[in-house]
Amino acid sequence: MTDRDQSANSDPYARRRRWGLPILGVLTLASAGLSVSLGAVDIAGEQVAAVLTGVLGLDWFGEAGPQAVAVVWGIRAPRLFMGLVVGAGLAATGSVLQGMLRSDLADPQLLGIGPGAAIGAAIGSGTGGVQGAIAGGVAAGVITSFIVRRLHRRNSNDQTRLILSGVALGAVLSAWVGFVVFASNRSVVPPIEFWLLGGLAGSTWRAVGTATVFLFVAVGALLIAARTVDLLAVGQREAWHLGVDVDLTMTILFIVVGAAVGVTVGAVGIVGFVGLLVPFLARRLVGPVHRYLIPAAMLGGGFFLVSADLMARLLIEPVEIPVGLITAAIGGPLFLWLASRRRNV
Amino acid sequence: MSEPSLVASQVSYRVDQTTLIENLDFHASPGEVVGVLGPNGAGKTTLLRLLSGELLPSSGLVTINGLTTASTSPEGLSRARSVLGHHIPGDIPYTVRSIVEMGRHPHRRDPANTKESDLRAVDEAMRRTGTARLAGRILATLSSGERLRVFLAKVLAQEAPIILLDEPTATLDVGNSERILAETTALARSGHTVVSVFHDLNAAAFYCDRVWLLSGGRVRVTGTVNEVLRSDVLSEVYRQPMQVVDHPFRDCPLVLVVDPT
Repeated sequence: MTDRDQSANSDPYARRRRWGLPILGVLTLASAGLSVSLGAVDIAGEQVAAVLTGVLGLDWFGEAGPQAVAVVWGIRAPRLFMGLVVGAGLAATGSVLQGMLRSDLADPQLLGIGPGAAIGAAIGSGTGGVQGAIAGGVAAGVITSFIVRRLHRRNSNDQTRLILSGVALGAVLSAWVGFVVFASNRSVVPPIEFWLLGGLAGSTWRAVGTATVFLFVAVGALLIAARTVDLLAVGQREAWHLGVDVDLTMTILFIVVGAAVGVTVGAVGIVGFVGLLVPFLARRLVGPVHRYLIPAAMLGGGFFLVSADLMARLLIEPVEIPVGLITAAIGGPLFLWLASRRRNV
Repeated sequence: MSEPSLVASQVSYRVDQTTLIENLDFHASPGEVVGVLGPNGAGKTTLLRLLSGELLPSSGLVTINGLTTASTSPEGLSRARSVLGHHIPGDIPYTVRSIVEMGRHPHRRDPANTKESDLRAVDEAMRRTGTARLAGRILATLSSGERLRVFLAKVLAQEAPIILLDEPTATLDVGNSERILAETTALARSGHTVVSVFHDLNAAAFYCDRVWLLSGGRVRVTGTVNEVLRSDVLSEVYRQPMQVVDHPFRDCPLVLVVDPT
């Protein structure tokens, strides 16, 4: 066998997976370390370590001061974990949408699912706080996702039309988020900029726990369906010939995606472009096979959202910028590039 | 000849007011290569899609290995037949081997299926189609002919007893075309039922055991190659003067296009 034949026989993504996934892991850990250390009050690395080991009952770095405990464990750690969980969830849903719709531009927020979920989340937050927001987000996310699925069935061969329909649907639903917020008790319901631009401030351990449980179930379902998403990524007709009930499978996947997006919106509002940018880059890193792509995108999504949140906190200190502005500033140009690059959006 | 494994009885298919297939009867049995011929718009691809269960007849019945397509799940159909469609996707970032491995999807819930049988089926399919040396290549970087061979390998890896092919050699050069058709004939001789749409009448003449000549959604004539490939019939159906002579080197008819003047 010649060298050329050997290189043609080996999976070109396998080597990239071997070094790509550990690098993503290291980047995520680094961003997590910076996220709990930096902010309005700088906490020394030793104090951060003392807080985190102290929680585990270990005394390796001495005793942490009460301010360090309050800031690191009470404020920054839940914010960090919320960023990791939500970033991972958004990137996983984006990976599945892009795969099954065969479009790099499929993103849960661009398709209108996020804005739809935000209506339910805003209503839910008026009665049940964050838990109510997550429950409302899930319900409205599922309904909106179902509507998007119906639009997709009508335009299954025209991804451009589907994306444009989603953008239009999102614009309409975003306006309704505004109506709901302004008609609600504004001392209880978070402001419009939280819902439309997102924010990790105010994340609590309870909210992190709820979001984690919901997203664990939803992303678990997406991972179980990874091989089927691969077949859909080759083509609906090919998938059908291989035994996939395409209509039923895509409807279920849309519902799961809607529920997962609803959780993220209920917890932190709409954070755009995580589900667009991260799967796009992860696919180039580890290849298109979804059982590798989804975990890689989840790592990348956590890293991206935590890093964006850090920038949101530090860029114009002491003012905190909505995290969705940072993700849009980074993801928007990519969206433009993709839209101009692809003949078929 | 053994019992037909693929049967269409009085099948019609209509879209709105247009009839694409009308009262068509069809059958194919294990061990034979059956060709579906006809000019553009004759209904060849529609018939193949009806036979695969992808389309359901407006009236009539299609059965695959005794299963009625209208009442069988996609999963059940996928274990009974494999399909090489007319359109081969091109913009796919998966590796060649990943694509061929997808052919094993119908067997994932079969308790008798093992990783070793998956591996063996994929390796064998890639060897038969000459795609083993392309295993690590990204599909989007291949020529249209190479892509077709990859999708044919996926069809073979599926190991279904009935194989439906829509113009399997449309984008292949002469050498690859002959090799692929010889492989499909070998599959038929090993007990598979092979049904293939052909535009190349001479390929059909050599490789098919029986052919169905369609025109306007109906069967114009069916039978052995010698019974169907006749100068008068072909000239009328294709609206092009043709002469059928004995092939000088092969034991089959040779169809020649004749100058209309």
